[in-house]
Amino acid sequence: MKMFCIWAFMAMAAANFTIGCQSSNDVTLEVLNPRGEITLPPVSAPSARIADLAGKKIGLYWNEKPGGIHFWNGIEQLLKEKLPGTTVLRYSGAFDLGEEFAIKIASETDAFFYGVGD
Amino acid sequence: MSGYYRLEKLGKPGVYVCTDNFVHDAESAAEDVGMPRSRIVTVRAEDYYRLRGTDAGIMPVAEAVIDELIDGLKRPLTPEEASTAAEKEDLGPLTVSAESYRLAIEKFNSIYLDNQWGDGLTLLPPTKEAVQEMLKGTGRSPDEIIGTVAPKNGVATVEKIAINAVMAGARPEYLPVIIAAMECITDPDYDDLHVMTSTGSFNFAIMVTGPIAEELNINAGMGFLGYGWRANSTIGRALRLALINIGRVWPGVNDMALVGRPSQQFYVFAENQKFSPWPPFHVTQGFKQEDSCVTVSSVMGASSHLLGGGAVATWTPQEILDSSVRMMKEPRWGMATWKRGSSNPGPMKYILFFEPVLAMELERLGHNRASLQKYLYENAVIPYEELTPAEIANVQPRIDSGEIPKDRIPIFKDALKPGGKLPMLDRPEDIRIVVAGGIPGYSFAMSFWREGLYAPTSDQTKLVRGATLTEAGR
Repeated sequence: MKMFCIWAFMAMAAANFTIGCQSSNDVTLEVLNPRGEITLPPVSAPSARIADLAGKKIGLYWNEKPGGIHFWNGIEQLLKEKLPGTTVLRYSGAFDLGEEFAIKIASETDAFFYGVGD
Repeated sequence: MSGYYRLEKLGKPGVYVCTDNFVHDAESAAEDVGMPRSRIVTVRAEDYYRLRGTDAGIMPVAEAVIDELIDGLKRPLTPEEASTAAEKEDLGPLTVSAESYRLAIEKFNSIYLDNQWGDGLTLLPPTKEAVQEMLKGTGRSPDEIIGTVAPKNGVATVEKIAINAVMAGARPEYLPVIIAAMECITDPDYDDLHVMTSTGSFNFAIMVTGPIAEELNINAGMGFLGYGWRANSTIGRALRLALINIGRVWPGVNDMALVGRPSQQFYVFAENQKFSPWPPFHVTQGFKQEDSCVTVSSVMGASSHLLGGGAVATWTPQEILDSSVRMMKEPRWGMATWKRGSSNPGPMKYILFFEPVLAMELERLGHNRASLQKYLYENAVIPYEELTPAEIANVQPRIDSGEIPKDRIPIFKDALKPGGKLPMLDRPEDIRIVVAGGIPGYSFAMSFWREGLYAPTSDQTKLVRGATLTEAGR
């Protein structure tokens, strides 16, 4: 701690920092915010859910990393068991499927599960 | 998350699936794309990574979440989920008061580090006066926008970069180099998102070339990737802080490097022009010899490919060239599945760090950069007769998708015939040769993908300009 104090004082002096100092027991630092301004896109809500999935087509998207294939095989099998009237469609591609592929999947499915990773 | 978002925006209800140790990353990405209240379901990482090897093994993990997944598609959105309200934040200055200088500095550090506005080391306070002093290093306007930083696309102005440079302990004369590096990183064609957020330990190699390197005393000799040089250390730290604070990246939240990013101040070094027999590297990128430049590359790791040299073993130039060729053939494991935009996007680029004696010896043997690039490119090849059907089959899709440069297509087509040789690299210029280190030194390589995952390139070179306190870089 002692070394830290010495270092901090030396650094401040070297850099000619201005520190408001009303008395020996009252030091004020005004420091600038280092964060960059962010312009987040307008917030959207997720799409309305589907109360009854009977007869619907469910897409499963995976980004092709080998570790996930077996998991999605299991999900496909369980969906078919739990929702016998549904159709499961498998898709794979890049991390971000891109707009063109998204339009294709959207035209072929009613709902989807999306996974990327390892 | 961007793919999930596209489908939701097209009116399809979905559920994003990830392991529980990636949920913060998913939530952060959901904010970035503009759907902060996305439906996310997690599986237990501890089980998933252990059991994912077979269909039977992973089934209990799938069974554990299937009901939640189905529910995620069916259960109506809550009012909170349906809300499109956005949060505002205050980026104004902060006031820190304490009974003494020591306590004020401690309090300032506690606030900044607790807010994840630092790198874990003690920070210098960016007072208005200190930032003004820093800005004296450049003639560029504090309000000038250099670009936006991934993953949250924070706006990097000259002033914001200067604030972070103050916190890092950089000197004002370093600022033009820091700004040039930020210009590289924020170039729209540069994939800064992957290198800053991937599970792999990618990192930035930041090379300073031209006369400003010597003027700033950036180490190019013995220990050039190590500690001890204020310029190397604080230029790197300023960039790290700028990326943390402007890009809003944090380990385990949206920087998912599993073992971290070794060298938290990046790999900042200078080309050793004093001993280099060749023009500065930036000349190969179209800049003038007398320019000063910064080149940023998304490397996979430092010293990961030792080519030879050192103080112990003997070596010959040919042995090091042979070693380079062997290294360039290593990525063959993924050659059959190279695909733009995927997690295995294509062939490599290399920075070959040739130590001074090797470079001078190669020069004596009649080599220059171009001849070495040609030699290595022509030898890092796989004979047609040794190619697998999958490797052969993957060439045409890469040609069709434009991944292989047009001027190289005849070479790749000729390779797919008896007697042909398929290059491991797309073009000779993907081998970047720089002279760095002392005497003796090691020759080694850093590698990186030729194309990024989210943007076209994995490296950029920019001119240092606007300097006011140095002779170079003005």
